[in-house]
Amino acid sequence: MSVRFEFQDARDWRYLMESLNAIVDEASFIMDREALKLRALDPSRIAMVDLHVPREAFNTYEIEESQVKIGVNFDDLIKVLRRAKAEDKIIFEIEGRRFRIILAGKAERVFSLPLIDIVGEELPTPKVSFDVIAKMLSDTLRDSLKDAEMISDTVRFVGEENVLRIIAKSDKGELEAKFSPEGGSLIEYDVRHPSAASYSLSYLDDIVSRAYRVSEIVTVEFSTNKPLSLSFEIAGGGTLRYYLAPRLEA
Amino acid sequence: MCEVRKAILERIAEEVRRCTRCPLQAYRTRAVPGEGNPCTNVVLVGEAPGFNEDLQGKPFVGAAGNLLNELLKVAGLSRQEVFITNVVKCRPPGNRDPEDSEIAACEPYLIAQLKAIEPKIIVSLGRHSTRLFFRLAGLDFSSIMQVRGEVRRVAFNGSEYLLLPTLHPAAALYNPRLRGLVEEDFRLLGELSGKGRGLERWLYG
Repeated sequence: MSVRFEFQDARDWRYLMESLNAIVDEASFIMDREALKLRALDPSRIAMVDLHVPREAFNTYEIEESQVKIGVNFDDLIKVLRRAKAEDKIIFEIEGRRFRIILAGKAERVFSLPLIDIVGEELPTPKVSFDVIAKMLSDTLRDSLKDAEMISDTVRFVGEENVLRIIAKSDKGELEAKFSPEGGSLIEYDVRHPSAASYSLSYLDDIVSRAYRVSEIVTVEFSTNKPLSLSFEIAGGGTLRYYLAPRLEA
Repeated sequence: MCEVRKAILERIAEEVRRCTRCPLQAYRTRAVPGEGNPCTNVVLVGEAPGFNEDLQGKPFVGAAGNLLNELLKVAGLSRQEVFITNVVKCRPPGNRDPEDSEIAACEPYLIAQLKAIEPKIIVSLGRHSTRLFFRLAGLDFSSIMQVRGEVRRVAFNGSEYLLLPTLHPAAALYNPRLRGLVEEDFRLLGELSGKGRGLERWLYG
């Protein structure tokens, strides 16, 4: 197998890989003629990550076969990516069973890692629709989740006609964060049906505290007692999307 | 691998049977170290042996044990597929709650059992068991009703687990509402253990 792709900003790529690592320790990328993709469930099957980066997002994108599986251990990969400097480009090459990472800046540094075989199911495209869709700054969402974490380990998203509320309650106290298009905290907001659902903060914080560096804007989607979707648009093209199962109230 | 784990668990069980670390040893007929599959992904941890358990030296054998067997079925599991033990391995007299000093004395046995089995999932049955795991993981414990039914990723003693707190089956024996809750939690266990479908049930219908 012979593959080569180059991405303009090595640090952006590092943030992307760290964001995938919020869900999985190791996984297989699928590379075909159109895009680089990864879809995986976390070991508890409560969260899913779905990455799609089209070939246009890369400086160069070369693949001989129609499809190639690239199995990686994220701990090892991220250790290498943390060596990237501000203006480094990153080039990935696969020759046989080795995976070469080239950090190209003032100097060119070449790391080589083994490809790993990952046995796992290929997950089909999720089929789910949402009643509340809110676009906001990812930093704003991150701050609210940090606030909620001081109170509880569960957070409730409530989508009303003109307001999105993020609520945390426990014996320690209560937090309510309000967002609205009028107040300027929501860039876009669409409510088909008023909805509310609760989610685990440990997963959410892990996801958002990493993925907010991938994109300044996040699209939050949910419905009553259904999964939450968080989508981050990747600079240059592509989407990093998460799904998180709801915590059903007793 | 399973044979090695089995041997380690048997060695721990022998230590438990000879244990004199706390006053409960004076009251026991038989110690109840725990039993089950040494290569399981699921360990269920109750509070302490009761009357029947004390007589037989086995965990969850009375009415609460029968309910636990039913609940395991809800999760798509059987007793043979899991490991069952208690926080305290000897029966407190009169089935009183175990004291903190008794829980602390027994803790090393539980930690050693978890180290030997390396499960993916710990199900804490009831208040005492859940409170112990919350303490080990550095989490604040409020009440079992507040924390039950939500899976937490926890780490202690160098290992990571998914902790699923639920009610003690004995609490659900004669209360249909509580039984509904504990069944809901065991359905979640089924999903976690791969016997159910987790997030996929929403994403793929």
